[in-house]
Amino acid sequence: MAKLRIDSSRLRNRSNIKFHIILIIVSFLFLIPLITMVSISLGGGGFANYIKVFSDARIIRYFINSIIITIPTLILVLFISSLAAFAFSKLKMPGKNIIFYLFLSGLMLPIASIIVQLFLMIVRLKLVNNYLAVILPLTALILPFALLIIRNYMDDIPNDIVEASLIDGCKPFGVYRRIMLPLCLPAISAVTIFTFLFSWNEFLLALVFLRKRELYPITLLPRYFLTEHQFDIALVFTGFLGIVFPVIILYIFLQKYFIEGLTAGAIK
Amino acid sequence: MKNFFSKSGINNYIYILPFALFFTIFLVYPIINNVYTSFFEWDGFSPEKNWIGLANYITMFKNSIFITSIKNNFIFLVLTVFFQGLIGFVLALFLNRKIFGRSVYRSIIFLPIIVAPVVIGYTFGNMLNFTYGTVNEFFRNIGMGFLAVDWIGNPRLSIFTIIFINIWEWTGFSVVLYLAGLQNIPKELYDAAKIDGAGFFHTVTKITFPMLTSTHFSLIILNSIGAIKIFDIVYVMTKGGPAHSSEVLATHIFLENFTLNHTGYSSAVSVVMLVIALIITLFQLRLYRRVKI
Repeated sequence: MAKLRIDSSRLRNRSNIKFHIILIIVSFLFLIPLITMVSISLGGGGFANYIKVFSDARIIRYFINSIIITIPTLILVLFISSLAAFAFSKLKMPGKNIIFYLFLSGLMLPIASIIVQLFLMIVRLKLVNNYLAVILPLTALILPFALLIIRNYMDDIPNDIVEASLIDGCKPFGVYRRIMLPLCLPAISAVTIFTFLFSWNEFLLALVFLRKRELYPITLLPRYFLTEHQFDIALVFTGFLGIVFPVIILYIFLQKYFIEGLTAGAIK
Repeated sequence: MKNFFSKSGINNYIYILPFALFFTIFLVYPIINNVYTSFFEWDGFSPEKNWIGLANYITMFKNSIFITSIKNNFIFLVLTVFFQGLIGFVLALFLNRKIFGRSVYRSIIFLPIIVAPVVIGYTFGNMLNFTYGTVNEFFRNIGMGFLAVDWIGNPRLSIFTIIFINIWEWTGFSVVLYLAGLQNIPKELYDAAKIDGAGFFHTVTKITFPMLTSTHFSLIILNSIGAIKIFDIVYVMTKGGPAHSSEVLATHIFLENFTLNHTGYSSAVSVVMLVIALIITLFQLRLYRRVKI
């Protein structure tokens, strides 16, 4: 009996090695483009490229521009979606379900399908070359997803907590701020990560609305290199590392939240 | 009076008001305006607008570039749904065993999703360059130069190259979803299968695969919408070329409006894209409802 067990565990180990070999090859295939990026960025000047790119005032400016777009979007999305989620989950409203599903119909709206009209609107509002031209539509596009995630989470919090606080004289807004928001932290963090990623990597809205070079977010960096410098590919890819690096650092530390945040809408 | 309002809950609309404003101004209004604009011949800025009824739609269905675009989106959809699902499923089976470092493997496979599509587009554009790209260099070095083809410049190949890149980027998503689904399959089912003498292949096809129906369904919907939406990678890698061969709806709209000023026409294409996206979203909403009840 004992012998049999040893045999089977050895068998498992051997097949595990086979699996490891396959998985290492697969992992490599998923890492090649990142490895390529690093190796191209080091071409020519080596680490000097990094110093050259990241001490360039223009490029630092692009990083700041990306942050200027990301932070307000994040604040708007979190506040507006959690407030609405609270009402849909815990308060009485006529036509609640119909309105909820109407809002969710924006869940999968492709930016490209409304970009023409957004452009006409932004031109009329004289917001071309204004960060709001990116922030406001971006917020609107992320909101339905954020609403879905936070509402699902709030639905799992017992109604008794809300009712008890209301009887104790707490105003609904107080319940939202002091009770629901702290309890929803996991959903809030999922939405935070999703929104951060979506705003940081955003390309189309910036391409259309931010036409002045000094307003570019970091994703439009290649355009700067294509026009301003001679096309130095090592410098372009060093810039790319600048887009990807902050995200990867966050990913390493907050992996669980990244994976949850990005798949949350699909799993429930 | 106050009592009446709060009893019916009308006062509570204040909580969804900011949402409703964003939703109406930036999503609903553009959608309605899209439909309206699509009936005009208009360049987007001159005061003159010509009502031409359905002419833009007729032009559209006669336009070979539009046909190519929608065909490419469709090929994109079919190949992405199939291969991303299949590869994701197989990798999830691999990672569902208790092996050392499996969360590291999972993280690496998921990694491309967090990288900006713009960066992915340029990086693959470099790797797949016909003359100096590392991929072709590799094929030439191992004496398989016939595989060193023009991945991006060949009009028959470019869209498939882009589809491959998109699958590469999003496979981790399928893996994570399938892994979550696999956790929900009761162990007893596998034990029963083992007792019945079912082999690995049989267990996978007769138990694992059918038990993941809701995961398959979610992935089909999400990958479909992803295939309709695609813009960044195509724009960065080929701008829809060569000779419009890799054009998709999003790049077609972009080019027609922002380069050619055919605002009326591009609105009509936008309407088509919206209708497709909304149909897929309806399926998705039904899914949420079913799961919730």
